[in-house]
Amino acid sequence: MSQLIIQDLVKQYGSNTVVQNLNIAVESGEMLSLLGPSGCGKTTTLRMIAGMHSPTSGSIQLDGRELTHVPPHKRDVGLVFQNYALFPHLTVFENVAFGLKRHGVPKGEIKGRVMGALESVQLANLAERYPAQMSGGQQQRVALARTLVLKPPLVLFDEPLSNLDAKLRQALGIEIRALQREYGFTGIFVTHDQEEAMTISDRIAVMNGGRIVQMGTPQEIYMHPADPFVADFVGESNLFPVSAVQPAAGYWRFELPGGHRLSAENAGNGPSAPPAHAMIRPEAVLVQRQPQDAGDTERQGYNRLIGEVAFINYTGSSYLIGLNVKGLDSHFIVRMQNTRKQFDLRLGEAAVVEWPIHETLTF
Amino acid sequence: MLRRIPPYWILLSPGLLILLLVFVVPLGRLLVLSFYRTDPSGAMQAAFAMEQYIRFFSDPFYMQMLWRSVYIGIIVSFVCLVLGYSLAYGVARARPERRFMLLMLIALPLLTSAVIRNFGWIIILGRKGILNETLIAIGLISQPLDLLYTPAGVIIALVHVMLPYMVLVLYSVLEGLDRNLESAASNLGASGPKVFWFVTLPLSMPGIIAGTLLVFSITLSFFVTPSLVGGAKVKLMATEIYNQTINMLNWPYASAMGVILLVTMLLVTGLYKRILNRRGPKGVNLG
Amino acid sequence: MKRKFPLLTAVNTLIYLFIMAPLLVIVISSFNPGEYLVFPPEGFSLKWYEAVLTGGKYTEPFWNSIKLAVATTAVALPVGTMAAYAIQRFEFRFKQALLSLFLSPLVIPTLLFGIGLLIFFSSLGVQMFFMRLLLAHIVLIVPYVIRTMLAGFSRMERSVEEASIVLGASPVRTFFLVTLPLARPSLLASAFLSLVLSFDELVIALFLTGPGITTLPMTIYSDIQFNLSPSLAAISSIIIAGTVLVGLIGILMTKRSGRT
Repeated sequence: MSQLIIQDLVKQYGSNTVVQNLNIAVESGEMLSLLGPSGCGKTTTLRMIAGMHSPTSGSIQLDGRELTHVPPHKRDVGLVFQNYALFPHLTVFENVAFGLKRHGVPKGEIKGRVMGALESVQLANLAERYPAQMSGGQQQRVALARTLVLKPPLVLFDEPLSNLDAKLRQALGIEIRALQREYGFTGIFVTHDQEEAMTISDRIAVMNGGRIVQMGTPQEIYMHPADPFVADFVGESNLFPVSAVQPAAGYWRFELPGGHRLSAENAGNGPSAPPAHAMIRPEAVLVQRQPQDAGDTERQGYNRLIGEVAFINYTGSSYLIGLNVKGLDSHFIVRMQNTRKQFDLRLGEAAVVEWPIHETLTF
Repeated sequence: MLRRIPPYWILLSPGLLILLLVFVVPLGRLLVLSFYRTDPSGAMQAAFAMEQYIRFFSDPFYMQMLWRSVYIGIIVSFVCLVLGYSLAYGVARARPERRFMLLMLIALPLLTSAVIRNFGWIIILGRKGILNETLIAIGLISQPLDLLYTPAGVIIALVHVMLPYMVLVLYSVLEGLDRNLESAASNLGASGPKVFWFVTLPLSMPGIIAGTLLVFSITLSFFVTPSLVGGAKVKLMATEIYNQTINMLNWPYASAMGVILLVTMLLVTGLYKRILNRRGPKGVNLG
Repeated sequence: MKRKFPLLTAVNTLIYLFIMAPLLVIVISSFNPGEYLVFPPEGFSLKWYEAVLTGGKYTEPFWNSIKLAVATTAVALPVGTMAAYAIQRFEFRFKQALLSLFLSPLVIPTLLFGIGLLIFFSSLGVQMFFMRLLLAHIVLIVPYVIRTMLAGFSRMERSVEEASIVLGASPVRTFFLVTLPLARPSLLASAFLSLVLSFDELVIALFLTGPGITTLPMTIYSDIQFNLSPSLAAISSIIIAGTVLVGLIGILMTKRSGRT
């Protein structure tokens, strides 16, 4: 049985519905990310689980215990904040001991448990410091220790990494996963950063407009986005409207703006609605200079477009190349690994992009 | 959870209770009383009459007094603005470590009671006071100036009382100004005075307006200074209201004068805001 | 920054002199040994300080003012802090209107408030003069406390209180364990303002006092009008020194507790 069960959760402010009929089941020991743009309802959902907001309707159950109307200080749910939210007037030790005291843990036991928690975040030597004397990364680790020392069955993370710089973010993300294995808590991780969501979670729930638009493993979300929103929000993408759609055996044939003809697999069994959008991941595309003599020969099983190189961004490990393609109102972008071979694309010159038909996703 | 009284009502109720009982109700009484009648023997009679207001507005003596109060309020606000701007500008441009000390020099007198500060001015301004003695000694004047118990003396002492308010308001605005704007203006070729006139001054308009409004509102009904430095010779609204209340015991009339003073304050400040809002530079919030 | 504005510096020096002048004049003339208040003094003597401090007519008003200031602070500080917390942390209808109401004693002239209260108390026949003054002072001081505490609470991260609640402290315990300790600089500033403003208050006292209760500002006020003397200068100097001292202590404490 799932550990955390959220059923038909609704939150309204006046006539404004922030969270609509949310249903989530989280397995014990799992890390689930709520991913979405600001205002999508992910933070509101998290705060309802923590008890900071009360839901308009619906229920929240943890280990079979009805939480919906339990006040927040009696929920035994951990919460890690974006801005760390350490008590500035208490030392690191006192910060970590705070929750233990509130739970009536005997004095003799407190010291050992606090130091244990601090050791698991490698901060035992800084126990007497005040938060203001520490770096952001250290503060967030203290906040983790402060939460985990209570051994809560469920820990909520409210964008805990977004105040940190890129390298630290990655390191702390890995540390959170390690701590999860050590303490065995179930986690819900709210973020607007899709990369963070992909690396840290077992499953992702993509939210938009107060609903979950897709739930699945990071691979499922990335490879098979449910709709244009998810496709666009998760990862880089080339997303275009399509017209003149014709079904063929196992395929769709359609036109992009500008009259470019493309094909995509029709994975659905039986008749499904004709797609309105096509999406191609930039890293699935091969790009090369247009050979001067070559005719317009299409390789079997590939889609092909011709455009003019508009920009080349070198990022070290890869190139991001943008092409102006006739009729498209945004650049067609290509992510090309740096293979140390000679790079022969030039700005303003014509280039050919090709990708396997099955890499064309349709919605 | 049980339906309980919301926590904010519990937190607000002691303050609200005191405020309603000891502030709102008495001021309501004052308003009601201003419509009472005073019979020839001086006793008041419950009524709803304009008698007190008619008495005020039909007597040039009181109209002049009202005008004098407004006039002194305007002069004090203006003098405070000039002096206060100079001080605030100096503090905002001083080295950061000195700013605090300079501000304290200005703010500490604010904390000393106005009564005591006016006492100092009485020593200074008297006919045989230090100011007259000094001016005579250096030969600037031959006869002592009449300063104590004149409007001039009242204005000097009032400026002293109000100046810290003005400086604190102006400083908070000047300190927040982006100094890069001034640098940018000089880079674009504006001379020092021009930078001040076209950049700094317009940008500090919100502070100027807030400061003058604050000083004017307090000055108009300020009692201590007119009473001590002006004495019986400089009749202002505040002192006369006190006189009517305590000495004449004509409470309805005192109430009406109080209401008139409050309405005057609201009218003048409202008019001032309106004029400046029309003329003020676009994009600057003159709230 | 080098001296870029010599004219400004010169003008401002004169203005600082203007600010300091009346205070300096009082302090200097308090050392005059003679019976009359003269400036400059004709000698140096501390005898008027001795006279003021070893009893005399200022002692009782002084203690009255201290009692009043302390009692006012003891009530206004919690009342104002509670109201400010409610306004800062909760959402409810008419919040802006309520805030304006709470701050309105800052806008309405004290003079009007004084007459209103005099009429009100007289019509009720309330004769407890200390109580009358205390209530009036509380109304005058609470807005200052609210303003100071609002600024303090708004600088405080809401999430720190939430962290405390999630860790198992009830909202009430959180208020005492987290909110109040973090609001200490603002609490100190409020207490200081309250003590000084209440101690110095004159206008309300003139209207509301009665037989048996005289505050120090009232005594000084009446002596300025009818009885200028070196001992008046001495007690005034003591108040000036006291205010500066309390002010400096307040600032130092606020700065220090603001740092940790």
